[in-house]
Amino acid sequence: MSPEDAVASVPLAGSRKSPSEYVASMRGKKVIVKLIGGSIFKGYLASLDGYLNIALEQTEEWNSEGTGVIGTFGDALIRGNNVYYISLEE
Amino acid sequence: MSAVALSTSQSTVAFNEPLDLLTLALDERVRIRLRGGRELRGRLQAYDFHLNCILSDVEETVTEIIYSEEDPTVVVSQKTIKNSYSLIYVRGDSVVVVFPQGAESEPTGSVVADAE
Amino acid sequence: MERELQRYGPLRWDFERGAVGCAAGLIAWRPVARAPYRPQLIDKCIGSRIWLLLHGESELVGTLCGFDQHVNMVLEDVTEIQVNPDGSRLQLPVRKSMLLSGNNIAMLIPGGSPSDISA
Repeated sequence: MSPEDAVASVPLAGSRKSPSEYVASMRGKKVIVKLIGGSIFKGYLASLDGYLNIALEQTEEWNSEGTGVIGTFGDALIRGNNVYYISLEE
Repeated sequence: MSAVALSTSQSTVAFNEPLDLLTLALDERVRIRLRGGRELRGRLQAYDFHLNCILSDVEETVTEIIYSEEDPTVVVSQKTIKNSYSLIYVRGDSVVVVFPQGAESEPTGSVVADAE
Repeated sequence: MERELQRYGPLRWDFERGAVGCAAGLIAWRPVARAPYRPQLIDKCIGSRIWLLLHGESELVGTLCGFDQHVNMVLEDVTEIQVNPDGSRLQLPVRKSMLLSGNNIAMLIPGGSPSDISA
């Protein structure tokens, strides 16, 4: 499949989900936040703003491979410019 | 920009925005992780929207990691320097994470050596 | 060219201030053709696999579900590939969904990565 075909075969906008909707669905759930530096934080998403500043509760810090916990904290506030992605913990 | 949160008189703080977490932490000891493997523990006197902070009774821990020249993933040596200051201003752009109640917990021994 | 217009939409005519003529160096509003609004291209990728090259040593392959004005993206079934300094590629576990900050995106390639297509 060439890239052009991939674009041409796009299904209609049924599966569309904007970032703000996605964020709304994540509130209060356990999330994984990866930072640009490589460190990973897991915790319950308390709040999030338009700059991607993130407040987490019951935070755990994991190593960059995601294989082990490095430390645990209560709350954490992550400055948005360091965020690489936010993902739901499955 | 000028909205430095200095008032702690409000007993109920609406917790809608991430930065409200810091409103609760005013005049408490916080732990701030900065770029370049620096970590600060101190009493949060004031902060603003950019996360510029004023801290008092600060302990700074700088962890420097030296990587092998052949293989940049191999750590050759690691050294820690501790400094203390009575009052400092932290520019917000270097802040990575703030732990409002993290000041008393053990140092993790981990280092966030951000590339930038 | 026609095909390009069909895909990305027509050029938009805009006016900007600049030099008109030469001898007099007259400054006036002149018409310029602008490339179509970039997100239109990304919009066409919604629902399909895309391959993202990011700043730093990583790449993502996933299905685009949406994006906003900062090009923050919602992705599904995402594989993260870490490119090591020696050129080897380490594939990290698949994430069901994520919100990717637009800050680190360097390049977007529709259709997924070569390995993804062959798989």
